[in-house]
Amino acid sequence: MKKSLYLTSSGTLSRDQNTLLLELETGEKRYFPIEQIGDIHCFGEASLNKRLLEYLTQQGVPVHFYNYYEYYLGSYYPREHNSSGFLTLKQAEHYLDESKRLDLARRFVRGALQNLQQVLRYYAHREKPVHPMIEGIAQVEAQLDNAASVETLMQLEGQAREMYYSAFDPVLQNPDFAFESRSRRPPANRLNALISFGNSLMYTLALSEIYRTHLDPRIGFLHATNYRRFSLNLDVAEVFKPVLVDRTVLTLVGLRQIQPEHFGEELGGVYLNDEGRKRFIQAWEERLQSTFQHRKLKRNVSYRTAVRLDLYKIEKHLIGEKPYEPFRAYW
Amino acid sequence: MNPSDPITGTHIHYFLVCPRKCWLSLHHLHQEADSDLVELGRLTHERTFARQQMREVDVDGFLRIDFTSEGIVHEIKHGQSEEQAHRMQLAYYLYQLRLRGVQTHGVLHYPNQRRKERVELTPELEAELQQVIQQVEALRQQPLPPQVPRPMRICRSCAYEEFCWSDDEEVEQ
Ligand code: SF4
Repeated sequence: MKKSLYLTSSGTLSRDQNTLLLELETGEKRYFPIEQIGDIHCFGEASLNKRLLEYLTQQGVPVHFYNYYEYYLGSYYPREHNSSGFLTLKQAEHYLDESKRLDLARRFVRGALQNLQQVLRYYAHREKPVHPMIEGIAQVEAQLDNAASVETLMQLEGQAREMYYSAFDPVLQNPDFAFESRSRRPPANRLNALISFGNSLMYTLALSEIYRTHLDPRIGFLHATNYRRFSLNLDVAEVFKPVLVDRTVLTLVGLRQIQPEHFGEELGGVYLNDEGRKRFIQAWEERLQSTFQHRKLKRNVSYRTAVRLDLYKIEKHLIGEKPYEPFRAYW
Repeated sequence: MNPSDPITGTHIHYFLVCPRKCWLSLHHLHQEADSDLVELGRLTHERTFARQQMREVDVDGFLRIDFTSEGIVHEIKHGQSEEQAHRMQLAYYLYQLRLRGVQTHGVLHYPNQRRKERVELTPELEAELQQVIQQVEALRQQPLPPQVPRPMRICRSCAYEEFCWSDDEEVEQ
C-alpha cells in the first residue's frame, strides 16, 4: 500500500539516487523510498527542481500544493501512464450527451445525499437531535428524479448541504466550535476552517486516485468542465466528503483533539496553525486507512481503496457495463 | 481502441485464462500491477534470464520474445496452473515468427518446479491456435466485456480484481 507524504514544514525536495530526499530548513535530512510514495502534499515552502519532476513522472507520483492558508493551489499531475483511448472517448461522450451527463450527475448527487443522511443517522443513534435534518435531506433526495438540469441538481445539493450543516451545532454543542453558517474564502470560524481544509484534502485524494485509473480528471459531469483544470475529482469528492471529511471534523472536535489553540486568525479569516494541521492530517490518514469488509471482494478494504473502487465503477458505467451506484457507508 | 492493434502473446494467454481479462486488455484498460505475485513473476523471469544468457527481442513492436543464441524461443513462467495458456502463447510466437520466415521451436520454463517443456508448432497445435486467434478477434468486436457472474478462484491473484469486483452490493446467494 503506497503512502501519502505530507510536508508541513518548509524544505527542499530532491532526488538522491533512488530515493526521495527532504532537507528541512533546520538542516535535518530525511529519505523516503520512492516505491512507497503514492503522492506528495506540500503545505510549507517547497523547493524542487526539474530532475525531481522527471523522477516523479517516471514513478507516477503526483504532487499537490497548498498555500499558507491551506487553500489548494494546484497539482503536478505527471503524464498519464495509464490511458485508454477507448475509455476517454466514452467519457467525452457521456459529457457531451446531455441526458447521459444528467444521469451521471444525478448519481453523484444521490450518492452525496445518501451519505449526508448516513452521517446524521450515526449521530441520531447517539441521541443527537438531528432527525428533522435527516427528514429534510430525504425530501430533497426525492426531488432529484425531477431535476431537468445539472444546475438544478447543484441547487438541490446546496439545499441539502445547508440542512446538513444546521445539524453540526446540535451534534457538537460546543460554543468554541459553533458553525453559524458556511463561509469559505476566508473561513469565518474554526469549524469552517476545518471543513475547508478537509475538503482540500478530499479533492486531492480523489485526484491522486484518478491518476491511478484510466479516467480523465478534466472531464467532470456534475461540476462543469469548462472553467477548471480538474473537475471529475470534485464529482467523486461529493460522494465521499460526508463520510471522510465531515466525520473526521466532527470526531476531532467531539473528542477535543482539536482545540481553539490550534487556530490562528489572519486577514479576516481563521486558519489551522501548524499543530492543528498536523493533528488534522493524522486523523485524516487514520480514517483513510481504516477498513471495512467489502462484500464482493470478501476482504477488508480501506476507505482510500473505496475511493478507487468507485472510480472503477464509474469506468464500468462509461463503458456501458453497469450503471454507477456510488459508495454508501454502512456503519 | 485502435481496431488494428495487433494481438499480442499476452492477449492469447489472457483469453485462455479469462476472456474478460482479454477484452479489458484489448481495450487498454490495464490495471496497475502492484501485487506481490507480479513481482514474484518478474524475479523468476530475471533470474532464469540471466542463467540462460537470453536476449529479449521486440518483433515489429508487439511481440516481445526471449531468444537464446541458438534461436530457440523461451518463455519463463511462474506457476503452473495456466499451462495450456502458456503453451498457446508460445505457439503464437512461433507462428508469428514463421510468418516472418523463421522456423524454430520453443521451450516453456517452470524454474520453480525445475521443469521444462518443448513446444513445437505442429499442425494440430496450429489449428488450435488459429481458433483462439479468431475468437480473440471476435471478442475484440464485442461492445461489452464478457460478464463473469461471481468471483472465481483465479480472481484472487488477478490484477483486475478490484476493477471487476468493485461493487459492494449484496451478492445474490
Ligand atoms: S478479476 Fe477475475 S473476472 Fe476479472 S479479469 Fe481477472 S480473472 Fe477475469
